[in-house]
Amino acid sequence: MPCIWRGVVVFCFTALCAGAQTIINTESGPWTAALDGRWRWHAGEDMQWASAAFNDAGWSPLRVPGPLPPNRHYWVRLHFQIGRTSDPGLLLGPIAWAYDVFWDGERIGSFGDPSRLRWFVPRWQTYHLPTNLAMPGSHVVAIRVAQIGPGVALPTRQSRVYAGDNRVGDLAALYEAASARVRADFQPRLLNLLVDFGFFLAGIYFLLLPPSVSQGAAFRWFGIVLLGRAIVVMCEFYLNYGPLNLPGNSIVGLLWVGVWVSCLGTIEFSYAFFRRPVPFAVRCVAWLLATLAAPVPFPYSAITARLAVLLIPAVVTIAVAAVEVRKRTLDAGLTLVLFAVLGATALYNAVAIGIQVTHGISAPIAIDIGGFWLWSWDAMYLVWVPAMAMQIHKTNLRFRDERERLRGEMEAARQVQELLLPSRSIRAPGFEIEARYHPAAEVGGDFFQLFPAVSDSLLVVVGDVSGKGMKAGLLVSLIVGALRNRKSDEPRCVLTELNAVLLGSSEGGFTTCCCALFSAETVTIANAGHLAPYRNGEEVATPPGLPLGIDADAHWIETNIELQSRDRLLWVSDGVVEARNGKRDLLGFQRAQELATRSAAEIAQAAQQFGQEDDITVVSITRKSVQVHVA
Amino acid sequence: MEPQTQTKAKVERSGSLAILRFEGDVTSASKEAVLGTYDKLAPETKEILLDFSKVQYLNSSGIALVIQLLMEANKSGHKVQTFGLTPHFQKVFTMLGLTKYTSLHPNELAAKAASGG
Repeated sequence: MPCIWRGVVVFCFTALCAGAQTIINTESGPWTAALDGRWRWHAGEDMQWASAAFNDAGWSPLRVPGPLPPNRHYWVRLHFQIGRTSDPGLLLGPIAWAYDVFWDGERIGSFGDPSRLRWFVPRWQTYHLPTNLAMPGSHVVAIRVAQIGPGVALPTRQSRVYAGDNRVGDLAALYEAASARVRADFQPRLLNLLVDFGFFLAGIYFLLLPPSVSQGAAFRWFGIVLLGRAIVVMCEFYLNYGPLNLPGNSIVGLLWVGVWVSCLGTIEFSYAFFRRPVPFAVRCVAWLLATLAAPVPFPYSAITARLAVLLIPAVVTIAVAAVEVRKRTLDAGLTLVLFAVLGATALYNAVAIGIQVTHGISAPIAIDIGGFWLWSWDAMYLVWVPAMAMQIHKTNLRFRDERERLRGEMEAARQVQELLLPSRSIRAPGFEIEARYHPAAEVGGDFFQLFPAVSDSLLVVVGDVSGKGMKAGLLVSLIVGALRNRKSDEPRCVLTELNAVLLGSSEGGFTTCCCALFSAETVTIANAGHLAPYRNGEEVATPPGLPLGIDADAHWIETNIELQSRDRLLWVSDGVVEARNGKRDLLGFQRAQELATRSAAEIAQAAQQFGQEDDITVVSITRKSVQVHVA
Repeated sequence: MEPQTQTKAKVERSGSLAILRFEGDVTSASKEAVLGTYDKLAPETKEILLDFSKVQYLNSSGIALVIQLLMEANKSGHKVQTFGLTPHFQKVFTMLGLTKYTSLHPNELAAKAASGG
């Protein structure tokens, strides 16, 4: 690095009329010197105050380091002397949300633009000085400051004048000094960043929990709360360290979206956790305040609404937990502690904002852990997230046990149904019987029964309970029981008996049923809305009949058909004709009829391959000879 | 198993005539669309037209809902005409004996004519 400026220049300047004048010592090599000491300030707006010739002797002194003036608009000025620099510059610390900076009356830069509502979180900015402006000698820096006023109690940098923050000197050295300041500012936030990244991942995890997880709604709301927190943290980092492309007021709008999501999510979570609906009034008030606190430019015109947005979850959370504990709906202890921590944190942050707004005093909202800061929200979530994860683990275990128990019960029900329905190897003298039954779930709503009846006849009952699953399966059990205790073999009487049984049990559903009594040479059929059987591949015309379980006065007309040796009657359930393929096309009556000459196994397989949606039942009865012999 | 499309129901009124237009699959999840819509019909309704022209599929639970609607309408003295069913479901409705409670028509014009509208 070329030698730019060597030697020592000591300027001892006695103020004549301008009051205190900062003395700048420079050393060999690239140098910077702090502009600490006595500045002067004056409230108001007057561009003449930028001038080097302006006499600021009557202005109030402003000690740096020290507190900043409370005013929204004011100027500060500083007189000082510098030695020679080859590449002069000025570093200003995080003094304001917007300002213009003048060097000997020349505007050399700005930060934000209050006239266009472009505000930025205060930060270190370095300004290049034209060499002709920064000649050795006396100079005046004047800064036209615009503050947004109190109200920013978020973990963003506050306006301040710390020792050594404002410097003059060689530009390269100023950049180095600024970097060192930013690094020192950033380091304590590393823990915060790490912890919040963990919360972000946890939020995604909670949000993506499968719907089957018990208390899934509560966990998903908690995930939303954590993601809201992630938005807040992301915005805070952008505000503090991001490029100055987007004005801070826009980012703060997004930041508050994160705050609202967290706060409103907390309300939803508190109720969902206890499996309670959020009262309409609570939700209305919360959302109303959220709307009032919609992103508005600085200054915070809706700060009270925002304050309320923080206060509401605090109050609601504590109230909900207290009510639930009083009801003894929980195994209290840990849950109460967790909710107390959540409520207390929300309350504390709300109070901190309140103090900031009303008194301009920043209440500490972070804990210092060995030089790293942990925000109170993060400390609270550090308790909550593992507790929630444990809760999920516990409920998952409980859910798994419950699922296993249900699976066992369904399997038991399936086995019972298998016992109730005839097996595949059914035998009846004089008939070749083939049947296939494929329920869509563990237990089905289709049924068929074969009863060798008096006078070498055979009674066949095929039916379908609307719906499927356990409820349909239980109705099938009822039907099978009723059939086994029937008083008559006459098809229309069988249907009437079943109708009487099902009338009070169908609960809005219905049961289709076709009854056929095979006797010497004829078959008598009565059909209650079931698919008509096929005789040798041709559909048998049966009169329409209402399904069972709908109308107490329903009656059914019997049809008699002849059945010769080797003739075959085939029943299929709607699971065959209404099998649907990937294009959502139905297998339909036409294809079903084309399949009707094939074996029961082939028909059932064809329907399954087409796309099973419902129980599939196929029953085929072929007369071996005219005479029926019952063993 | 293909996902079922949600049932939508829309009511169009013209004097004492109400047309219930259904859309999507009619299944067990269609209770509100089928029975809820029927229950909300104005008291002065006398004739009802059920439009299934935008319904591709009714499963047994969905048909059970239609049956309940027909039974309710029958009890209340409403005259129900049905149109727009695919040939497949026309056959199913006929097989189930629902023609005792509603006439099946190929289109809205025929259904309106039958209802005297």
